[in-house]
Amino acid sequence: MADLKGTLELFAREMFGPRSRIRFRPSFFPFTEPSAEVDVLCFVCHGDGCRLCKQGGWLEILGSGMVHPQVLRNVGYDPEEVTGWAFGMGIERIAMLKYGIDDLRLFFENDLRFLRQFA
Amino acid sequence: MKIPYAWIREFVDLRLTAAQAADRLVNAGIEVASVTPLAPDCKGVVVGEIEAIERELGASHGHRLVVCRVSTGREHYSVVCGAPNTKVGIRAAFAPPGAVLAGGRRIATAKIHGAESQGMLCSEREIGIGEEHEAGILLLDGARPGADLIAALGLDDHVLEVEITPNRPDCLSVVGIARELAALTGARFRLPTIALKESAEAARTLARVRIEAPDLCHRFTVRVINGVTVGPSPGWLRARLRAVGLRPISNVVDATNYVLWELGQPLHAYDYETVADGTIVVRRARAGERFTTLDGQERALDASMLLIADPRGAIGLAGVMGGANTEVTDRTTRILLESAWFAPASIRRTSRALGLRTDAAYRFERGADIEMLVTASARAAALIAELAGGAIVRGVVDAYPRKRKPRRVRLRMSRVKGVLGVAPPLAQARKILAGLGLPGKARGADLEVTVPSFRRDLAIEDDLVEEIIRVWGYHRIPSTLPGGAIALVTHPATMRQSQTVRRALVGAGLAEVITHSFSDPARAALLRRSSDPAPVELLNPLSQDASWLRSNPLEGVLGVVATNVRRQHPDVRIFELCKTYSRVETIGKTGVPEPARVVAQGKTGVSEPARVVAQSKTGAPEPTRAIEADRTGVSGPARAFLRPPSTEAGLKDPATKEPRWLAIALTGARGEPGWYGPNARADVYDAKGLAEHVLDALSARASTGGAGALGGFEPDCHGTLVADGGAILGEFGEVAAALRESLGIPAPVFAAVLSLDVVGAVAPAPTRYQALPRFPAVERDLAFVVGDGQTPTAAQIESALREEAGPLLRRLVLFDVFPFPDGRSSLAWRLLFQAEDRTLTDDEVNAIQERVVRRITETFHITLRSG
Repeated sequence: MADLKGTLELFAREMFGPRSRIRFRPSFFPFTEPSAEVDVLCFVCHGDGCRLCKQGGWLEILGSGMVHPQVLRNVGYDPEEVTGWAFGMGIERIAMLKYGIDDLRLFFENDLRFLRQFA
Repeated sequence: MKIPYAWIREFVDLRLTAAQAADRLVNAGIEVASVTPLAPDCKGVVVGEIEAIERELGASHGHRLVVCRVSTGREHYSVVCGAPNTKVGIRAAFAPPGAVLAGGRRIATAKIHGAESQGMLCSEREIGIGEEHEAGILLLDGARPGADLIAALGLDDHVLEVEITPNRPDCLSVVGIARELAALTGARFRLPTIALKESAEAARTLARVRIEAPDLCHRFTVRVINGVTVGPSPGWLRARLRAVGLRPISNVVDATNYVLWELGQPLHAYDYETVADGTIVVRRARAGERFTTLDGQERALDASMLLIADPRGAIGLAGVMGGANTEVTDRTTRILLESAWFAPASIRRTSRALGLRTDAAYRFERGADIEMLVTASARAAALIAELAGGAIVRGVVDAYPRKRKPRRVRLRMSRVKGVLGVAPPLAQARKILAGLGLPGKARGADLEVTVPSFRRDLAIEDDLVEEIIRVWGYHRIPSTLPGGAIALVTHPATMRQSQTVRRALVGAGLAEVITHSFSDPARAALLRRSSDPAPVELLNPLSQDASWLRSNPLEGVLGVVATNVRRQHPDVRIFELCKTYSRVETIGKTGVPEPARVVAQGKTGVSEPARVVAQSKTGAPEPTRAIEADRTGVSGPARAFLRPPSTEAGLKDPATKEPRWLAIALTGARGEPGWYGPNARADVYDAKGLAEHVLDALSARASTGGAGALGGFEPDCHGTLVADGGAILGEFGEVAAALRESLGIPAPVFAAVLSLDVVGAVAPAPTRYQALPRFPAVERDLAFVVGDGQTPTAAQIESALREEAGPLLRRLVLFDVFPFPDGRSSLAWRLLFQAEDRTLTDDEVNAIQERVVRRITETFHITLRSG
């Protein structure tokens, strides 16, 4: 899980800038054990609290965890021999947070005036 | 679920504020949505005692108005009051002058009906803490006159709204959250004290339980309480129920709801006299059996639903809702109290089937604590006796056919370290687990942990690993990057291909679009040809116009063109990388390209030996060694324990095909508008050119062929791009006018598609250096007139021309297409001849030229243009 944490920190810095910090919180997903939710320090207010992060200072960005041993077994791995981790996020949501896009549907309407903004 | 913080503190000694407690919960995995103050925003409202009724003022609006003398201990006030429950000696909510009620209403001395009123005696609604108003002023028996109302009602508190994940049903109660906080802070946790006074009479003489469906009901207990008086609950209980969002109903029902919230055990009270023989039968319903639940609704049941019944018939929907026929009313004097455990799946099914979502069903669905239900029964009985009077009959009738087996899990500390990357010392791990209610015995380097009945989510070692780390703190997990044997895995060929395509087309000024894979059958039908394979239909579509999977690669881009044209953006140059889906059928004659050949996709790995630095378990790097990569692309030590997942064939449905496509669509101007020249309109050659540009980037060569099999093109403007071996790499043309008009596009649209799997399977044109020529070249132009009855394609002429000209022809470019007014055209080629070893003479070139002209004119019956 330390490797997962390190990898996610690297991801956060690459995605949101070098000042970025993440927070690891326990959570629950049926297919991971332990599970964690990851928040990134709000890149607008840097933790002071603002409208984007609803005053909390953190933005929820993804779920993650160590792959549940039963899942490993289901696909033919022996959990005694391997461990694995996984994380997943809604990339549209991350884009919305990062660029301030306010409507999810814009990603699938493909209006050129929208697409051109991100050339 | 809402829980007042003061209620939690009855079971755990915490030195935290509500906000701090919420924070601790969140950091341990219990989501707290909000921490809200319980008190309404009123100030200065106190408890007042009516010492005397000074005089009557007569009636007003049907109310009897009196002037009372109200005491707050230190002060006395003359207050006009019209409430029906005004009586000497009662203590009630009183707002003296200066007090502010919820909503900002300021109370001052006023004149009512000619009399001065110093302040106001208030109902729940007037203060802002409830809906009760018609019944009169809010009574506070036993409260001290002058005491602040908020404190007297226990409203100087905060409510935590916790959101419990499905794996923690034990937290769906006040004690559950209290237990969690105790574990997280080390504070002392205690269950509610139960002062149970029982009568001499034995419960088993009055009640019996027969479980006929032990698979669905593992335990059922019953208590009897005699001589109750059903009435409203006292203020503190009503306030607490309201604080958590429940509606006070009657003292007996409220007591069961209170215990539901407090201990997480759903209970039900029956009017004992309505239960035949005092006998409870727990059985499945009979098919078609009908039953009226206590919300007045009659329900049709099926044989999968569990019922509580008596020998006469159904009296309750087990675990979901009680029956109207056995409801506790204000005439009830004897209570039959049920506390039981029902199988989660059954309750969930019944609740969903009948659309009955209740607090009881919610908890049973997720798994109640089969060992808590006896405590809950005693707690509720004691509470009922306290609130409604009555004597608790001795003992509990306990039918427990499926006893819970004790559960022990072995936890290796090495596993903790292996999964987390860090681990506390064993003694500390043991302490953490014990704090959670999970006692453990040390067994060497392991712990044997006993899992209690309320933690249904803990079954395997890794579950305990999670418990340890979430209490110990996720911040203790160090941050490292994975190390060890690294396989040099390259991106799959399909991914590299997609990236190349994107680079080429974005570089050419197109925008990439992404559309949904679902398609509208009506729109898809416009693109279908009779020879197309059957489409894939969705079993559970979100809507009718998204009920098929896309079967033609043009669907997405045409939709995007239509959207942009509709929004007054007539110049559209886009591409999409997409898949189509079809059922497997015989392909053959139609020439529809074959889908991905697994062999091509399988070549993901490194083809030459990979050098890997292996790290052994001791952490010391081992000497590098060249390791052959196998087909999966994973090398060396990694290969020893990585098994490829159940084969690709096993994972993919063999009955469908999902070929990968590139689709390009153009309409309107050819490029961006500007001052430097007129902006031409895009045409079919732009679409073809872009497709060829992509093939170039993918090192694939193609020649032009006739119309292909893909639907959606105009029949007389439709061609294919064909590889040397004959495989069809793609198609291009003008989009059928009827089709685009039906989509609302008035201007012509040109499109091209490439079948990426076919392109990927074709061997790339090898790049080989050719020595630069050292001798001069000779250029000749040849023009032919076509359209005089014979219309060979330019490609055909070129092909014959090259063949005839032989290896000395180095370059051939069609440099002019000139249309004559009479409908014929002239096609002009520039030929470049050059030899490696000598300067070509005019005679040599003339000879070749004559041969070529003869060949072309004779084969195609066209003439050489003269003049």
